Amino acid sequence: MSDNFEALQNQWKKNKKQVEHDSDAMSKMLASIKAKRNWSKRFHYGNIVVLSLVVVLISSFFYFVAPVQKILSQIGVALMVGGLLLRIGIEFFSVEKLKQIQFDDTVLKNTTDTLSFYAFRKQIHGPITIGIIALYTIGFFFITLEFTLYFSTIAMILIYVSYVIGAIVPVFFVRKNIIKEIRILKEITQLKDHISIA
Amino acid sequence: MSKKNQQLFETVYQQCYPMVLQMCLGFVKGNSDLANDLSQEVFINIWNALDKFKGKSTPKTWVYRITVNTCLQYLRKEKNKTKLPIEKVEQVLIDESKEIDHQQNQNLYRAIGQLEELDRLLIMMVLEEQDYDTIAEVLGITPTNVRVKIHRIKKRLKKILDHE
Repeated sequence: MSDNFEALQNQWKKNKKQVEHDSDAMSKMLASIKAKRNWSKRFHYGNIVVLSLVVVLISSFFYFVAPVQKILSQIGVALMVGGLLLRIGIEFFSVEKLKQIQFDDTVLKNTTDTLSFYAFRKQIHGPITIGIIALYTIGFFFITLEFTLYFSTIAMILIYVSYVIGAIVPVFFVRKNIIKEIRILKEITQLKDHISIA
Repeated sequence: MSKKNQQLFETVYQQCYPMVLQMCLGFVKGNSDLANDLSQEVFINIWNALDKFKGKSTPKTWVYRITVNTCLQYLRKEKNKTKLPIEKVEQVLIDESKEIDHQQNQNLYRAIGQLEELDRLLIMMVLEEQDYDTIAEVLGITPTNVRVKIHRIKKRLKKILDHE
């Protein structure tokens, strides 16, 4: 066993010496670090920006274009916007939780924190997101009751159908994310066991 | 970033870049594109953690922690995109023309690549001649636990090498 391993170790050392000769990699590395850091920040806050734009759009629509009169419709708008605001709050919390995963912690601690983060994400993509979609749908339904006063039946059917089609997309993504996160959770749990069990 | 941190980063980079790149290469089974990408991730994480470096552990142990944690996280992300084929063994090293070296490197990364993810990183720290206490400090487990794991990995590695 030791002969094989020594041969492997010698090869390892030999490789390392060859790597050391790369001289101008430092400046390239610094440039790419800066580029990647900026991209990473944009990625983390991307969801929040998109959701905030939707809130602004919906609020502006019901304030300037189609201000609803009935209390039930106003509750509907509040449910729709409230659900989105809740989601934005959760996204902020999620980004903060992600920042708590420290790469200079021990591997066991890092894995435990990552496990906790993904368990939290699973909750978000599961019951919380489904709850928010339900709130949004109820809010939409409340508003459409007032719309029936102004739109024809065919137009109303079109509005409902387009909402159902529009709702399929987020439901599909939620399902996809849940499956992905369950797999990741399983992997991290296995990794944690692998680290801690002798 | 302060001048002090910039200097610390440069020192860490000069001293640890070959080690980081080689561990990344071993981890991604010799795929040079992925290894370069991964080593960049490692140095981004080093850069981000510089403010917190208080010198409680040696800079090298600290870099090992970041490298191992980054590799384990990276593969999780990468798994969503593509599987890493063991056959695709490339070289990032300068002297690519030497066919014998290339073949030996292929064997090295192919053998390491057949181990489980964490085991790959553990055995590479052993190849880096790190003692059990240092590895235990990186992992956050006892040196005895490390010793047991390394013994098992070496046995598995021997089986792999014997079958080649």
